[in-house]
Amino acid sequence: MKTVIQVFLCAVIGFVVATLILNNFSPDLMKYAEVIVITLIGIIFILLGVSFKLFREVKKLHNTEVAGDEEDEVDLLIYKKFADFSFLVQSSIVLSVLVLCTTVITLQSVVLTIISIATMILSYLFTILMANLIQLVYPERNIPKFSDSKYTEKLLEISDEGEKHVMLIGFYKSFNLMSVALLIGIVLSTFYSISADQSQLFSIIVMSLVLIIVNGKYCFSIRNK
Amino acid sequence: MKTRMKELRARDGLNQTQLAKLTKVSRQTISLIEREELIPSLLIAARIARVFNEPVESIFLIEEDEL
Repeated sequence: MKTVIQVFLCAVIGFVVATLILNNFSPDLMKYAEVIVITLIGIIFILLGVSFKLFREVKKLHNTEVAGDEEDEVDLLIYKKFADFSFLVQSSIVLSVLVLCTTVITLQSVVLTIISIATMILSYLFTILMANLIQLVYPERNIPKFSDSKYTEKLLEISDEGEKHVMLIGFYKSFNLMSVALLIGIVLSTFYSISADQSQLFSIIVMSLVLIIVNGKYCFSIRNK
Repeated sequence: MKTRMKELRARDGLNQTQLAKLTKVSRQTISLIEREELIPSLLIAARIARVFNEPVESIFLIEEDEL
């Protein structure tokens, strides 16, 4: 079933791209730059607003006095809300970088550039909030400080086997998805370069290098064990 | 591999969070082991056995074809 869905998705992408090329579609994103930037800033503020709501909910749940099976349910809920919070904050960081890059490339107004820098700083502050939230929810665990240069390594170190098992499955799926997504990105950039007559060669080279480096890192990691 | 953890937890009146604290693991790990999605390490299996005061092999039931 999964293979059928994958084949179907590839066929749809292929069909859309081929149709666009055959109809001499030449997207000029520069024309829509301002709309794109304003929309993205709006999305970032929504993401950060929802993140803040989740942050407060997690804090409230953490302070709730519960016993028995309800305690497990509350812990599960905290875990899920924290995972959602983490995803939203990561997304807002990526989008704020995208907004800043777009404003710089398309030479937007100073106000939009300042707002995009502000969203980036705000998203980063939410990342610190995220790290503090883990310490608040799990005070008994020796969670490293966010400022620690080996924060991610230490976070992995303190995880137990169940958490590592869950992370492994998640990372493995993400890794495979990222490889496919980058390949699709390369193909789409190639088609965009041809149809819009704007060379995306630099991006294609960067994406190819990222793909090689990430795959190489994985292969060397398992090879040396 | 089957596990009797849920049954033993109910017997001793423990929730997953309490068992997790007693065995020094996360609640997520206890939940995964209980749902038979993770085979625990020898160390964690021994800690669980100690909490329930039962031998490891009576908590984690390995079927003949798995050996």
